[in-house]
Amino acid sequence: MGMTQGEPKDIAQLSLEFLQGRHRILGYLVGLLGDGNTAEDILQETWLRLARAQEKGIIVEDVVAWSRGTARHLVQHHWRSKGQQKELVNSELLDLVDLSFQENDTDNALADRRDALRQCLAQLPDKTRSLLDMKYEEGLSFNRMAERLSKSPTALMMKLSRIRTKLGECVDRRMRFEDFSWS
Amino acid sequence: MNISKVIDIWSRLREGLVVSQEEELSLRAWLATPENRKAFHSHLLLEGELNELLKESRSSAVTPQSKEAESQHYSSAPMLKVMRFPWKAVSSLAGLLIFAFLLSHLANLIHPPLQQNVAQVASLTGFPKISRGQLEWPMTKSSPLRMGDRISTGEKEELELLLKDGTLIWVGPRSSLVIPKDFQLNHNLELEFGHLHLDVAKREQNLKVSLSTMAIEVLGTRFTLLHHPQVGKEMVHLQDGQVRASISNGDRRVLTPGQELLIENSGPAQLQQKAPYRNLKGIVESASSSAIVLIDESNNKHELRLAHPQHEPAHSTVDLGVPSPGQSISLKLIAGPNRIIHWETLPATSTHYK
Repeated sequence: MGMTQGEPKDIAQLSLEFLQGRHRILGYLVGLLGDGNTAEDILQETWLRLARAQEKGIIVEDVVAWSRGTARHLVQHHWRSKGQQKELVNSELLDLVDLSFQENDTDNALADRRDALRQCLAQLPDKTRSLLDMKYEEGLSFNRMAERLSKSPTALMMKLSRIRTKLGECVDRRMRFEDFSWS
Repeated sequence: MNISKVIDIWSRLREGLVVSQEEELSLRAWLATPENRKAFHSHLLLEGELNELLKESRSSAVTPQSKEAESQHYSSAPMLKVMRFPWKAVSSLAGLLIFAFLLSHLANLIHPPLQQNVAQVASLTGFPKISRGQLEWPMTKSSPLRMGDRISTGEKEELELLLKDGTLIWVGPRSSLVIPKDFQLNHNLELEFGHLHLDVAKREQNLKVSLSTMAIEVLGTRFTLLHHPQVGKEMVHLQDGQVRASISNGDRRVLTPGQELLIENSGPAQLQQKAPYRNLKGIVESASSSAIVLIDESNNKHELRLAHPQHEPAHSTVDLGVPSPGQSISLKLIAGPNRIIHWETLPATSTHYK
Protein backbone atom coordinates (compact mmCIF):
# COMPACT_ATOMS: atom_id res chain seq x y z
CA MET A 1 0.00 0.00 0.00
CA GLY A 2 2.70 2.47 -0.95
CA MET A 3 4.91 1.94 2.12
CA THR A 4 8.68 1.51 1.85
CA GLN A 5 11.79 2.01 3.90
CA GLY A 6 13.10 5.55 4.20
CA GLU A 7 12.55 8.83 5.99
CA PRO A 8 8.99 9.64 7.03
CA LYS A 9 7.48 12.63 5.25
CA ASP A 10 6.20 15.51 7.33
CA ILE A 11 2.49 16.20 7.46
CA ALA A 12 2.78 19.22 5.14
CA GLN A 13 4.39 17.11 2.42
CA LEU A 14 1.83 14.31 2.85
CA SER A 15 -1.00 16.85 2.74
CA LEU A 16 0.32 18.33 -0.46
CA GLU A 17 0.66 14.93 -2.12
CA PHE A 18 -2.78 13.93 -0.90
CA LEU A 19 -4.33 17.11 -2.28
CA GLN A 20 -2.51 16.73 -5.58
CA GLY A 21 -3.79 13.13 -5.90
CA ARG A 22 -7.20 13.93 -4.44
CA HIS A 23 -9.12 13.66 -7.70
CA ARG A 24 -7.61 10.22 -8.41
CA ILE A 25 -8.60 8.88 -5.00
CA LEU A 26 -12.02 10.50 -5.27
CA GLY A 27 -12.43 9.05 -8.78
CA TYR A 28 -11.73 5.59 -7.38
CA LEU A 29 -14.26 6.11 -4.59
CA VAL A 30 -16.98 7.45 -6.88
CA GLY A 31 -16.32 4.51 -9.21
CA LEU A 32 -16.76 2.05 -6.34
CA LEU A 33 -19.70 3.71 -4.65
CA GLY A 34 -21.51 5.60 -7.42
CA ASP A 35 -22.39 8.21 -4.79
CA GLY A 36 -20.34 11.41 -4.66
CA ASN A 37 -21.41 12.43 -1.16
CA THR A 38 -20.42 9.14 0.48
CA ALA A 39 -17.25 9.20 -1.59
CA GLU A 40 -16.37 12.66 -0.17
CA ASP A 41 -16.99 11.42 3.38
CA ILE A 42 -14.74 8.42 2.87
CA LEU A 43 -12.10 10.64 1.28
CA GLN A 44 -12.08 12.74 4.46
CA GLU A 45 -11.75 9.62 6.61
CA THR A 46 -8.90 8.43 4.38
CA TRP A 47 -7.09 11.72 5.02
CA LEU A 48 -7.52 11.21 8.76
CA ARG A 49 -6.01 7.72 8.54
CA LEU A 50 -3.10 9.15 6.59
CA ALA A 51 -2.49 11.86 9.21
CA ARG A 52 -2.63 9.24 11.98
CA ALA A 53 -0.21 7.00 10.09
CA GLN A 54 2.21 9.93 9.82
CA GLU A 55 1.91 10.60 13.56
CA LYS A 56 2.76 6.97 14.26
CA GLY A 57 5.86 7.27 12.08
CA ILE A 58 4.57 4.95 9.36
CA ILE A 59 6.43 5.65 6.14
CA VAL A 60 4.10 6.29 3.22
CA GLU A 61 6.01 6.47 -0.04
CA ASP A 62 3.17 6.58 -2.56
CA VAL A 63 0.38 8.60 -0.96
CA VAL A 64 -2.19 7.89 -3.69
CA ALA A 65 -1.61 4.12 -3.62
CA TRP A 66 -1.69 4.07 0.19
CA SER A 67 -4.86 6.17 0.25
CA ARG A 68 -6.56 3.98 -2.34
CA GLY A 69 -5.84 0.88 -0.28
CA THR A 70 -7.18 2.56 2.85
CA ALA A 71 -10.18 3.89 0.96
CA ARG A 72 -10.98 0.35 -0.20
CA HIS A 73 -11.06 -0.89 3.41
CA LEU A 74 -13.30 2.00 4.38
CA VAL A 75 -15.67 1.27 1.48
CA GLN A 76 -15.84 -2.40 2.52
CA HIS A 77 -16.57 -1.31 6.09
CA HIS A 78 -19.28 1.05 4.80
CA TRP A 79 -20.92 -1.74 2.80
CA ARG A 80 -20.74 -4.14 5.74
CA SER A 81 -22.27 -1.59 8.12
CA LYS A 82 -25.19 -1.09 5.72
CA GLY A 83 -25.59 -4.82 5.21
CA GLN A 84 -25.59 -4.26 1.46
CA GLN A 85 -23.41 -5.19 -1.46
CA LYS A 86 -22.63 -8.52 0.24
CA GLU A 87 -21.54 -9.98 -3.07
CA LEU A 88 -18.92 -7.29 -3.45
CA VAL A 89 -17.38 -6.94 0.01
CA ASN A 90 -14.70 -9.58 -0.31
CA SER A 91 -15.04 -10.54 -3.91
CA GLU A 92 -12.59 -11.30 -6.64
CA LEU A 93 -14.56 -8.78 -8.65
CA LEU A 94 -13.50 -5.99 -6.31
CA ASP A 95 -9.89 -7.12 -6.73
CA LEU A 96 -10.28 -6.80 -10.50
CA VAL A 97 -11.77 -3.32 -10.19
CA ASP A 98 -8.84 -2.38 -7.93
CA LEU A 99 -6.44 -3.79 -10.46
CA SER A 100 -7.98 -1.63 -13.20
CA PHE A 101 -7.09 1.46 -11.13
CA GLN A 102 -3.61 0.23 -10.23
CA GLU A 103 -2.81 -0.47 -13.87
CA ASN A 104 -4.23 2.67 -15.40
CA ASP A 105 -4.33 5.37 -12.76
CA THR A 106 -2.00 8.18 -13.81
CA ASP A 107 -2.20 11.93 -13.94
CA ASN A 108 -1.51 12.00 -17.67
CA ALA A 109 -3.36 14.74 -19.54
CA LEU A 110 -5.84 15.19 -16.73
CA ALA A 111 -6.28 18.92 -17.37
CA ASP A 112 -6.86 18.26 -21.08
CA ARG A 113 -9.40 15.57 -20.28
CA ARG A 114 -11.21 17.94 -17.95
CA ASP A 115 -11.36 20.63 -20.63
CA ALA A 116 -12.62 18.09 -23.15
CA LEU A 117 -15.25 16.87 -20.72
CA ARG A 118 -16.40 20.44 -20.06
CA GLN A 119 -16.84 20.98 -23.81
CA CYS A 120 -18.69 17.69 -24.21
CA LEU A 121 -21.01 18.55 -21.32
CA ALA A 122 -21.77 21.91 -22.91
CA GLN A 123 -22.98 20.10 -26.04
CA LEU A 124 -25.40 17.83 -24.23
CA PRO A 125 -29.11 18.10 -24.93
CA ASP A 126 -31.00 19.66 -21.98
CA LYS A 127 -32.83 16.47 -20.99
CA THR A 128 -29.62 14.49 -20.87
CA ARG A 129 -27.81 17.18 -18.93
CA SER A 130 -30.61 17.38 -16.36
CA LEU A 131 -30.22 13.64 -15.64
CA LEU A 132 -26.51 14.14 -14.99
CA ASP A 133 -27.26 17.17 -12.81
CA MET A 134 -29.68 15.16 -10.70
CA LYS A 135 -27.20 12.37 -10.15
CA TYR A 136 -23.92 14.26 -9.75
CA GLU A 137 -24.81 17.86 -8.95
CA GLU A 138 -27.71 17.19 -6.58
CA GLY A 139 -26.34 13.81 -5.49
CA LEU A 140 -29.72 12.06 -5.71
CA SER A 141 -29.95 8.30 -5.36
CA PHE A 142 -31.40 6.31 -8.24
CA ASN A 143 -34.50 5.66 -6.14
CA ARG A 144 -35.07 9.40 -5.59
CA MET A 145 -34.49 10.09 -9.27
CA ALA A 146 -36.92 7.34 -10.15
CA GLU A 147 -39.58 8.90 -7.90
CA ARG A 148 -39.04 12.32 -9.43
CA LEU A 149 -39.11 11.12 -13.03
CA SER A 150 -41.62 8.28 -12.62
CA LYS A 151 -39.22 5.76 -14.10
CA SER A 152 -37.60 2.65 -12.72
CA PRO A 153 -34.18 2.92 -11.03
CA THR A 154 -32.79 0.25 -13.34
CA ALA A 155 -33.90 2.14 -16.46
CA LEU A 156 -32.26 5.31 -15.14
CA MET A 157 -29.09 3.43 -14.30
CA MET A 158 -28.89 2.11 -17.85
CA LYS A 159 -29.66 5.52 -19.31
CA LEU A 160 -26.88 7.16 -17.27
CA SER A 161 -24.49 4.39 -18.17
CA ARG A 162 -25.16 5.03 -21.87
CA ILE A 163 -24.71 8.79 -21.39
CA ARG A 164 -21.35 8.26 -19.68
CA THR A 165 -20.24 5.92 -22.45
CA LYS A 166 -21.12 8.59 -25.02
CA LEU A 167 -19.37 11.25 -22.97
CA GLY A 168 -16.28 9.04 -22.80
CA GLU A 169 -16.32 8.70 -26.59
CA CYS A 170 -16.75 12.45 -26.94
CA VAL A 171 -13.81 13.10 -24.60
CA ASP A 172 -11.60 10.65 -26.49
CA ARG A 173 -12.45 12.28 -29.80
CA ARG A 174 -11.86 15.77 -28.49
CA MET A 175 -8.51 14.65 -27.14
CA ARG A 176 -7.70 13.62 -30.72
CA PHE A 177 -9.05 17.00 -32.00
CA GLU A 178 -11.94 15.31 -33.80
CA ASP A 179 -15.51 16.57 -33.91
CA PHE A 180 -18.18 14.66 -32.08
CA SER A 181 -21.90 14.60 -32.69
CA TRP A 182 -24.51 13.48 -30.16
CA SER A 183 -26.95 12.47 -32.84
CA MET B 1 -20.37 -7.92 -23.89
CA ASN B 2 -20.12 -4.16 -24.55
CA ILE B 3 -19.00 -1.53 -22.04
CA SER B 4 -22.53 -0.23 -21.44
CA LYS B 5 -23.67 -3.70 -20.39
CA VAL B 6 -20.60 -4.05 -18.17
CA ILE B 7 -21.27 -0.73 -16.46
CA ASP B 8 -24.93 -1.60 -16.10
CA ILE B 9 -24.06 -4.79 -14.17
CA TRP B 10 -21.46 -2.96 -12.09
CA SER B 11 -23.90 -0.14 -11.27
CA ARG B 12 -26.52 -2.59 -10.08
CA LEU B 13 -23.95 -4.47 -7.99
CA ARG B 14 -22.71 -1.39 -6.16
CA GLU B 15 -26.28 -0.15 -5.64
CA GLY B 16 -27.12 -3.49 -4.01
CA LEU B 17 -29.69 -4.34 -6.67
CA VAL B 18 -30.35 -7.76 -8.13
CA VAL B 19 -27.62 -9.19 -10.33
CA SER B 20 -27.76 -12.76 -11.56
CA GLN B 21 -24.86 -15.10 -10.92
CA GLU B 22 -24.45 -15.43 -14.66
CA GLU B 23 -24.09 -11.66 -15.06
CA GLU B 24 -21.57 -11.49 -12.25
CA LEU B 25 -19.52 -14.28 -13.80
CA SER B 26 -19.56 -12.63 -17.21
CA LEU B 27 -18.43 -9.33 -15.67
CA ARG B 28 -15.58 -11.10 -13.92
CA ALA B 29 -14.55 -12.83 -17.14
CA TRP B 30 -14.76 -9.57 -19.06
CA LEU B 31 -12.48 -7.83 -16.55
CA ALA B 32 -9.85 -10.55 -16.88
CA THR B 33 -8.07 -8.81 -19.77
CA PRO B 34 -5.96 -5.65 -19.36
CA GLU B 35 -7.62 -3.96 -22.38
CA ASN B 36 -11.06 -4.37 -20.88
CA ARG B 37 -9.86 -3.22 -17.47
CA LYS B 38 -8.50 -0.09 -19.15
CA ALA B 39 -11.87 0.65 -20.74
CA PHE B 40 -13.62 -0.03 -17.42
CA HIS B 41 -11.20 2.24 -15.54
CA SER B 42 -11.70 4.96 -18.10
CA HIS B 43 -15.47 4.81 -17.62
CA LEU B 44 -15.27 4.90 -13.81
CA LEU B 45 -12.77 7.73 -13.92
CA LEU B 46 -15.13 9.68 -16.15
CA GLU B 47 -17.81 9.23 -13.51
CA GLY B 48 -15.47 10.65 -10.86
CA GLU B 49 -14.64 13.58 -13.11
CA LEU B 50 -18.32 14.22 -13.79
CA ASN B 51 -18.99 14.21 -10.08
CA GLU B 52 -16.24 16.75 -9.43
CA LEU B 53 -16.98 18.97 -12.43
CA LEU B 54 -20.70 19.21 -11.83
CA LYS B 55 -20.25 19.83 -8.12
CA GLU B 56 -17.62 22.43 -8.96
CA SER B 57 -19.91 24.23 -11.40
CA ARG B 58 -22.61 24.15 -8.78
CA SER B 59 -20.44 25.64 -6.05
CA SER B 60 -19.02 28.30 -8.35
CA ALA B 61 -22.10 29.28 -10.23
CA VAL B 62 -25.06 28.71 -8.00
CA THR B 63 -26.03 28.92 -4.42
CA PRO B 64 -28.04 25.74 -4.05
CA GLN B 65 -31.51 25.88 -2.66
CA SER B 66 -32.83 22.53 -3.74
CA LYS B 67 -30.62 20.12 -1.84
CA GLU B 68 -32.51 19.45 1.34
CA ALA B 69 -29.56 18.44 3.48
CA GLU B 70 -27.76 21.71 2.85
CA SER B 71 -30.70 24.03 2.84
CA GLN B 72 -30.23 25.31 6.38
CA HIS B 73 -26.68 26.37 5.67
CA TYR B 74 -27.57 28.11 2.47
CA SER B 75 -30.82 29.67 3.48
CA SER B 76 -29.38 33.17 3.71
CA ALA B 77 -27.41 33.00 0.47
CA PRO B 78 -28.43 34.63 -2.81
CA MET B 79 -29.73 32.41 -5.58
CA LEU B 80 -27.79 32.59 -8.78
CA LYS B 81 -27.16 30.33 -11.71
CA VAL B 82 -24.95 31.55 -14.50
CA MET B 83 -23.95 28.29 -16.15
CA ARG B 84 -27.45 27.43 -17.33
CA PHE B 85 -30.21 29.91 -17.71
CA PRO B 86 -33.07 29.35 -15.21
CA TRP B 87 -36.07 29.58 -17.57
CA LYS B 88 -38.24 27.44 -15.34
CA ALA B 89 -37.40 29.43 -12.25
CA VAL B 90 -38.20 32.69 -14.02
CA SER B 91 -41.76 31.49 -14.45
CA SER B 92 -42.36 31.75 -10.73
CA LEU B 93 -42.27 34.83 -8.49
CA ALA B 94 -39.11 33.56 -6.84
CA GLY B 95 -37.67 33.02 -10.29
CA LEU B 96 -38.44 36.63 -11.24
CA LEU B 97 -36.61 37.82 -8.17
CA ILE B 98 -33.61 35.68 -9.11
CA PHE B 99 -33.79 37.04 -12.62
CA ALA B 100 -33.82 40.67 -11.41
CA PHE B 101 -30.99 39.91 -9.00
CA LEU B 102 -28.99 38.21 -11.72
CA LEU B 103 -29.44 41.12 -14.12
CA SER B 104 -28.42 43.68 -11.53
CA HIS B 105 -25.16 41.85 -10.95
CA LEU B 106 -24.54 40.67 -14.46
CA ALA B 107 -21.67 43.08 -15.06
CA ASN B 108 -19.83 41.65 -12.08
CA LEU B 109 -20.44 38.10 -13.11
CA ILE B 110 -19.47 38.19 -16.75
CA HIS B 111 -16.42 40.40 -16.50
CA PRO B 112 -13.88 38.10 -18.19
CA PRO B 113 -10.90 38.47 -15.83
CA LEU B 114 -13.08 37.54 -12.85
CA GLN B 115 -14.20 34.30 -14.43
CA GLN B 116 -10.82 32.68 -14.19
CA ASN B 117 -10.38 30.35 -11.26
CA VAL B 118 -7.07 30.91 -9.49
CA ALA B 119 -7.48 28.68 -6.46
CA GLN B 120 -9.64 25.95 -5.04
CA VAL B 121 -10.83 25.20 -1.53
CA ALA B 122 -8.96 22.06 -0.53
CA SER B 123 -10.57 21.63 2.86
CA LEU B 124 -12.62 23.61 5.29
CA THR B 125 -14.08 23.65 8.76
CA GLY B 126 -17.37 25.42 9.35
CA PHE B 127 -18.83 27.66 6.68
CA PRO B 128 -16.30 30.26 5.60
CA LYS B 129 -17.75 32.80 3.17
CA ILE B 130 -16.84 33.92 -0.32
CA SER B 131 -17.70 37.50 -1.22
CA ARG B 132 -17.81 38.24 -4.93
CA GLY B 133 -18.94 41.72 -5.86
CA GLN B 134 -21.92 42.39 -3.63
CA LEU B 135 -22.73 38.72 -3.23
CA GLU B 136 -21.72 36.50 -0.37
CA TRP B 137 -22.28 32.79 0.10
CA PRO B 138 -20.88 29.88 2.14
CA MET B 139 -18.04 27.88 0.65
CA THR B 140 -18.17 24.18 0.02
CA LYS B 141 -15.39 21.67 -0.52
CA SER B 142 -13.81 22.20 -3.95
CA SER B 143 -15.24 25.72 -4.30
CA PRO B 144 -13.19 27.49 -6.96
CA LEU B 145 -11.97 31.01 -6.22
CA ARG B 146 -11.56 33.85 -8.65
CA MET B 147 -9.69 37.08 -8.76
CA GLY B 148 -11.63 39.71 -6.85
CA ASP B 149 -12.94 37.24 -4.26
CA ARG B 150 -12.78 37.92 -0.54
CA ILE B 151 -12.54 34.87 1.75
CA SER B 152 -13.62 35.34 5.34
CA THR B 153 -13.68 32.93 8.26
CA GLY B 154 -15.52 33.24 11.55
CA GLU B 155 -14.63 31.90 14.94
CA LYS B 156 -13.63 28.20 14.79
CA GLU B 157 -13.72 28.28 10.98
CA GLU B 158 -10.69 27.64 8.84
CA LEU B 159 -9.85 26.52 5.33
CA GLU B 160 -7.04 25.46 3.06
CA LEU B 161 -6.69 26.95 -0.40
CA LEU B 162 -4.74 25.31 -3.15
CA LEU B 163 -3.43 27.73 -5.77
CA LYS B 164 -3.01 26.48 -9.32
CA ASP B 165 0.77 26.23 -8.87
CA GLY B 166 0.41 23.91 -5.85
CA THR B 167 0.88 26.61 -3.20
CA LEU B 168 -1.11 25.69 -0.11
CA ILE B 169 -2.57 28.49 2.01
CA TRP B 170 -4.15 27.84 5.39
CA VAL B 171 -6.54 30.59 6.44
CA GLY B 172 -7.13 30.60 10.17
CA PRO B 173 -10.20 31.53 12.20
CA ARG B 174 -11.43 35.15 12.20
CA SER B 175 -9.47 36.03 9.08
CA SER B 176 -10.14 37.90 5.85
CA LEU B 177 -8.08 37.32 2.73
CA VAL B 178 -8.56 39.10 -0.60
CA ILE B 179 -7.46 37.79 -3.99
CA PRO B 180 -7.17 41.10 -5.84
CA LYS B 181 -8.55 41.53 -9.34
CA ASP B 182 -5.01 41.94 -10.65
CA PHE B 183 -3.69 38.83 -8.88
CA GLN B 184 -2.48 37.19 -12.08
CA LEU B 185 -0.56 40.33 -12.97
CA ASN B 186 0.94 41.21 -9.60
CA HIS B 187 0.76 37.87 -7.69
CA ASN B 188 -0.29 39.81 -4.62
CA LEU B 189 -2.69 38.63 -1.90
CA GLU B 190 -4.10 40.90 0.82
CA LEU B 191 -4.51 39.68 4.37
CA GLU B 192 -6.97 42.22 5.77
CA PHE B 193 -6.82 40.62 9.18
CA GLY B 194 -6.28 37.24 10.80
CA HIS B 195 -3.88 34.38 10.40
CA LEU B 196 -2.32 32.74 7.33
CA HIS B 197 0.14 29.94 6.89
CA LEU B 198 1.66 29.51 3.44
CA ASP B 199 3.53 26.64 1.89
CA VAL B 200 4.62 28.22 -1.37
CA ALA B 201 5.43 26.15 -4.43
CA LYS B 202 8.22 27.19 -6.78
CA ARG B 203 6.85 29.91 -9.03
CA GLU B 204 8.02 31.89 -12.01
CA GLN B 205 7.01 35.11 -10.29
CA ASN B 206 7.25 35.74 -6.57
CA LEU B 207 4.05 35.63 -4.56
CA LYS B 208 3.36 38.66 -2.36
CA VAL B 209 1.09 39.15 0.64
CA SER B 210 0.18 42.65 1.82
CA LEU B 211 -0.78 43.60 5.39
CA SER B 212 -1.44 47.16 6.64
CA THR B 213 2.10 48.49 6.89
CA MET B 214 4.11 45.52 5.68
CA ALA B 215 4.25 43.57 2.41
CA ILE B 216 5.88 40.15 2.24
CA GLU B 217 7.52 38.94 -0.94
CA VAL B 218 8.01 35.22 -0.99
CA LEU B 219 11.26 33.90 -2.34
CA GLY B 220 10.26 30.19 -1.99
CA THR B 221 9.24 29.15 1.47
CA ARG B 222 6.95 28.20 4.35
CA PHE B 223 5.84 30.98 6.65
CA THR B 224 3.13 32.20 8.99
CA LEU B 225 1.46 35.61 9.01
CA LEU B 226 -0.61 37.28 11.67
CA HIS B 227 -2.45 40.55 11.21
CA HIS B 228 -4.56 42.09 13.97
CA PRO B 229 -5.30 45.67 12.90
CA GLN B 230 -7.63 46.20 15.87
CA VAL B 231 -4.63 45.99 18.20
CA GLY B 232 -2.13 47.29 15.64
CA LYS B 233 -0.06 44.09 15.30
CA GLU B 234 1.48 42.54 12.23
CA MET B 235 3.85 39.59 12.38
CA VAL B 236 5.62 37.27 9.97
CA HIS B 237 7.39 34.12 11.15
CA LEU B 238 9.55 32.27 8.65
CA GLN B 239 9.93 28.49 8.82
CA ASP B 240 11.83 27.58 5.68
CA GLY B 241 13.31 29.48 2.74
CA GLN B 242 13.43 33.23 2.52
CA VAL B 243 10.99 36.12 2.48
CA ARG B 244 11.54 39.84 1.98
CA ALA B 245 9.46 42.23 4.09
CA SER B 246 8.90 45.72 2.72
CA ILE B 247 7.64 48.13 5.35
CA SER B 248 5.69 51.30 4.60
CA ASN B 249 8.48 53.49 6.06
CA GLY B 250 10.76 52.23 3.28
CA ASP B 251 12.59 49.73 5.47
CA ARG B 252 13.32 46.34 3.87
CA ARG B 253 14.28 43.14 5.71
CA VAL B 254 15.15 39.70 4.36
CA LEU B 255 14.18 37.02 6.86
CA THR B 256 15.94 33.70 7.35
CA PRO B 257 14.37 30.57 8.94
CA GLY B 258 13.36 31.08 12.55
CA GLN B 259 13.24 34.85 12.30
CA GLU B 260 10.13 36.71 13.26
CA LEU B 261 9.34 40.29 12.33
CA LEU B 262 6.84 42.17 14.47
CA ILE B 263 5.34 45.61 13.97
CA GLU B 264 3.22 47.12 16.74
CA ASN B 265 1.07 50.21 16.25
CA SER B 266 2.96 51.17 13.06
CA GLY B 267 6.14 51.47 15.15
CA PRO B 268 9.60 50.23 14.15
CA ALA B 269 9.95 46.64 12.99
CA GLN B 270 11.33 44.32 15.69
CA LEU B 271 13.32 41.36 14.39
CA GLN B 272 13.62 38.35 16.70
CA GLN B 273 15.40 35.03 16.25
CA LYS B 274 13.29 32.02 17.28
CA ALA B 275 13.53 28.30 16.60
CA PRO B 276 11.59 27.70 13.40
CA TYR B 277 8.16 26.19 13.66
CA ARG B 278 8.16 22.78 12.08
CA ASN B 279 4.60 21.65 11.84
CA LEU B 280 1.57 23.80 11.80
CA LYS B 281 -1.15 21.68 13.32
CA GLY B 282 -4.26 23.75 13.53
CA ILE B 283 -6.37 25.00 16.36
CA VAL B 284 -6.20 24.20 20.03
CA GLU B 285 -9.28 24.65 22.14
CA SER B 286 -9.82 24.68 25.87
CA ALA B 287 -12.89 25.31 27.92
CA SER B 288 -11.89 28.94 28.33
CA SER B 289 -10.19 29.97 25.12
CA SER B 290 -8.93 28.93 21.73
CA ALA B 291 -5.67 29.60 19.97
CA ILE B 292 -3.50 28.57 17.08
CA VAL B 293 -1.07 25.79 17.90
CA LEU B 294 2.27 25.17 16.30
CA ILE B 295 4.14 22.04 17.17
CA ASP B 296 7.89 22.31 17.22
CA GLU B 297 9.69 19.00 16.93
CA SER B 298 13.03 20.60 16.05
CA ASN B 299 14.73 19.52 19.28
CA ASN B 300 12.92 16.21 19.65
CA LYS B 301 10.43 17.79 22.02
CA HIS B 302 6.76 17.91 21.43
CA GLU B 303 6.52 21.55 22.30
CA LEU B 304 3.34 23.48 21.81
CA ARG B 305 3.75 27.11 20.96
CA LEU B 306 0.60 29.07 20.97
CA ALA B 307 -0.03 32.11 18.94
CA HIS B 308 -3.05 33.32 20.82
CA PRO B 309 -5.23 35.61 18.73
CA GLN B 310 -5.73 37.94 21.68
CA HIS B 311 -2.22 37.80 23.10
CA GLU B 312 0.06 37.94 20.12
CA PRO B 313 2.86 36.96 19.98
CA ALA B 314 2.73 34.82 23.12
CA HIS B 315 4.50 31.76 21.75
CA SER B 316 6.27 30.48 24.84
CA THR B 317 3.45 30.75 27.34
CA VAL B 318 0.14 29.08 26.93
CA ASP B 319 -2.79 31.16 27.96
CA LEU B 320 -5.60 28.73 28.54
CA GLY B 321 -7.33 30.35 31.46
CA VAL B 322 -5.42 30.12 34.73
CA PRO B 323 -4.45 26.49 35.30
CA SER B 324 -3.12 25.77 38.81
CA PRO B 325 0.07 23.67 39.30
CA GLY B 326 -0.65 20.01 38.77
CA GLN B 327 -3.91 20.70 37.02
CA SER B 328 -4.36 18.99 33.68
CA ILE B 329 -5.29 20.86 30.57
CA SER B 330 -7.25 19.05 27.90
CA LEU B 331 -6.21 20.07 24.44
CA LYS B 332 -8.06 19.25 21.29
CA LEU B 333 -5.82 19.30 18.25
CA ILE B 334 -7.42 19.68 14.88
CA ALA B 335 -5.38 18.97 11.81
CA GLY B 336 -5.97 18.37 8.19
CA PRO B 337 -9.26 18.71 6.44
CA ASN B 338 -11.95 19.39 8.98
CA ARG B 339 -11.37 16.66 11.49
CA ILE B 340 -9.96 16.15 14.93
CA ILE B 341 -7.05 13.78 14.73
CA HIS B 342 -5.63 13.76 18.18
CA TRP B 343 -6.53 14.34 21.82
CA GLU B 344 -3.83 15.02 24.31
CA THR B 345 -3.78 15.95 27.97
CA LEU B 346 -0.78 17.89 29.19
CA PRO B 347 0.16 18.74 32.78
CA ALA B 348 -0.05 22.42 33.65
CA THR B 349 3.34 22.22 35.34
CA SER B 350 5.03 21.08 32.14
CA THR B 351 8.11 23.08 31.09
CA HIS B 352 6.15 24.71 28.35
CA TYR B 353 3.08 25.50 30.39
CA LYS B 354 3.44 28.05 33.14
